[in-house]
Amino acid sequence: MKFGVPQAIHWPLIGLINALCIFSFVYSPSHYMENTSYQTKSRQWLEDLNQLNTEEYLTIGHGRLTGTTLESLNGKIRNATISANIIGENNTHVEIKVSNIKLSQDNELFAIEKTPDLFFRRQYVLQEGAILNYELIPTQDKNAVCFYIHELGRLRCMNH
Amino acid sequence: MSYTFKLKNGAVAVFDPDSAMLSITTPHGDVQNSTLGRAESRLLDLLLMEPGVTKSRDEIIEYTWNDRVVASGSLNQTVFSLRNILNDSRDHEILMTVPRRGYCFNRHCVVDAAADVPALSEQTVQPPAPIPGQLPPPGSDGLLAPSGKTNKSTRITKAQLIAYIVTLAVVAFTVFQFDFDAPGIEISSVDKDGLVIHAVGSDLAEAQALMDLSVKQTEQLPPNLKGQVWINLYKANYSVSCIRQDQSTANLQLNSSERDLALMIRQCLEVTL
Repeated sequence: MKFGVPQAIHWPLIGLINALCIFSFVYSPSHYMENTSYQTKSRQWLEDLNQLNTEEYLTIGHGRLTGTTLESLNGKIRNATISANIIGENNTHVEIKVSNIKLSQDNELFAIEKTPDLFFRRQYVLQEGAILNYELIPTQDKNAVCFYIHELGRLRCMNH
Repeated sequence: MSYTFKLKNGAVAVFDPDSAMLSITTPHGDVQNSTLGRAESRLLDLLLMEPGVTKSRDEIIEYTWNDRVVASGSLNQTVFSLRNILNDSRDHEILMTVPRRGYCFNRHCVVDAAADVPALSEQTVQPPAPIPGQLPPPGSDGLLAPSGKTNKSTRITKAQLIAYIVTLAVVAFTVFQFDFDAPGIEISSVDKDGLVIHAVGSDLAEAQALMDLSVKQTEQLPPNLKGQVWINLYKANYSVSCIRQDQSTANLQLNSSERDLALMIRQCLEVTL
């Protein structure tokens, strides 16, 4: 086999290409900080005009994503923790696979017959193996992270 | 700087004195790489510097073992060893003995680097056996003998080929990591005196339409309202997420498309949830 470059060039060229790949792994600027706990509050007006309030926490790091939600509706409280493995990632996308779910109670706080769409979307998330794609949105604030979850059509901004 | 020269039976050798690497390519294309011992490497290097020029035993010993004193038998042993490596142990046609004078490398075996090596390897090369006595004297070698030094070799070794394949896999993995098939979104933004509104859509047209609606509805917002707001419409549900001036965040979601967006933005930026 014959390449059109001198023999002495091959090893530096191979080294350079590998160095660039390693550099891109080490230095991949992201829109979030690893192992930082982000939190936010949310309010959702349901079709029956009830307000579903939530406190949400999110941590991403070491190939794992953990999200905890504490929701309340008419004095009733429920919490859910979802753990997931990151199966794909670049500086704007995080693709996760749900690996573990913990619920304080199985029943939803809201009337599922009045809000079936929300119920069905949650059913997809609350099963092991579900794939979710987070699209990270650049912000001007380093303390905050905003993202859009494609499978849920959910927009969130969180701060730490 | 490496040297290329022909061996018997059409094989071609490339010798790199810097790494002492001898690479022999058979007519069938098989490549055998071997690292020469220091003495063999130095001896071959010296002789290839000026192919056809006879080097005296003293000259060879001084160059080959420049760091120590050795007996004369060491040179004989090294020549014997090198000839075996070059498959020249029987005829001495490549590494030639010049009686009572020394040794020289057969300049007819040296290949011009400009020539195509694979093409040469296809030929059945049997280097002519020059009569040692007819070799030109050292003083006239510069005129008759072509330089044995080749240009830099463009041949790739097996190790380099493997390294290239591994590198290709690393590059493919890297590209996959940074460009996996992920869905995308488009964002249309407008800055209204410190109130930055971003409309998020699955495509640019959707984001722009949502932005136009947002701008129209937010005209009556108070001018002192500051912060960053993201708006999305998903299946008739509006989502508004915001980063306030105190760097806290809030998110509102409405299961109705009839909602007043301006009111939602104001609540997101001002109301304690």
